[in-house]
Amino acid sequence: MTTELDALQATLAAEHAAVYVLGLIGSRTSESAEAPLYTAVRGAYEAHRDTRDALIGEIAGLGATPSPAAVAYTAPAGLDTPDGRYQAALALEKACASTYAALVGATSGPRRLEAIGLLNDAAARELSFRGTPEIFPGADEYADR
Amino acid sequence: MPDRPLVRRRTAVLTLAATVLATGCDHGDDIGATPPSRSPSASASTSASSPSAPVRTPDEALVDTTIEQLVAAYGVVVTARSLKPLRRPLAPLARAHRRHVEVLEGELEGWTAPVLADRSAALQAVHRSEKQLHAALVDAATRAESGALAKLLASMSASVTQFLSTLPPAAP
Repeated sequence: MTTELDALQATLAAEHAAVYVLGLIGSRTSESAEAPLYTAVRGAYEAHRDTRDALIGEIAGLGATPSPAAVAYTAPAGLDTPDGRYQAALALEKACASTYAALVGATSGPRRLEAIGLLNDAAARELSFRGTPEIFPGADEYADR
Repeated sequence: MPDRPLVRRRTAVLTLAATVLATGCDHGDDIGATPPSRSPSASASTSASSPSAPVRTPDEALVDTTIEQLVAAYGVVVTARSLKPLRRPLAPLARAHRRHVEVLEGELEGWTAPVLADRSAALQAVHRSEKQLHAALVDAATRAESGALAKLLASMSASVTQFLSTLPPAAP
């Protein structure tokens, strides 16, 4: 069984990766020529950075050591085109939504409520990266039932 | 109690029916559907008044309440879809609500058709109803004892968030 701390650490790991990937996408996105994408990436970057920092504090508050960022991350493919950057950002938010949904299932009380908020925020951000509404965001295991 | 599976299980017949519905006819065509009457037999599956009925767990009660809220929201969407300009835009939302009810092993029955004078009134009603449903799903996900149920309900709330963002805007 996944403990609450395990789920928090897994979420922190996802946030480290998200901050890295979104930074990479942002560095390749033109603020003037791709304004909608740039704005969406910037907003997502700031949201994930804030969540990462909050998680670090929360995990430390539990007396545990927050997991550090990985030494290196694999950059998503296709970042040399706007479509590829949209796709990479969308895939990232979908992955984060799955992580947040798992966090919902592993927590309770105020921490769960926070995780529900994170899931809803990620689902909303998916739309800014050309995503379309899903029936079970973050919980694909229900999609084919 | 994070990883406990969904505690609520209806009969195998209902599960099979849900599976068939999920794989067979999920096309959003609910135009012309009429709300079934609330007959005693229609609500038997959620009744706990029988002397031999087992005591419902808090999660079972939560699921039943959530199904009622989903069915009510579905009723608003279906009624709004009777207006031709809204038929297509609201089809994905109707499908989503049907799937949500199916996964909870509920039935789409007993919904009421609100009076919706025109497109503007219909959209306002849908927006209002979906916002209420979203709040209810978040609340239910927060209160669920089972982690798996909490995850499912939270996912449904996120789905409603997405659909709310893509609905045609309600007129001021």
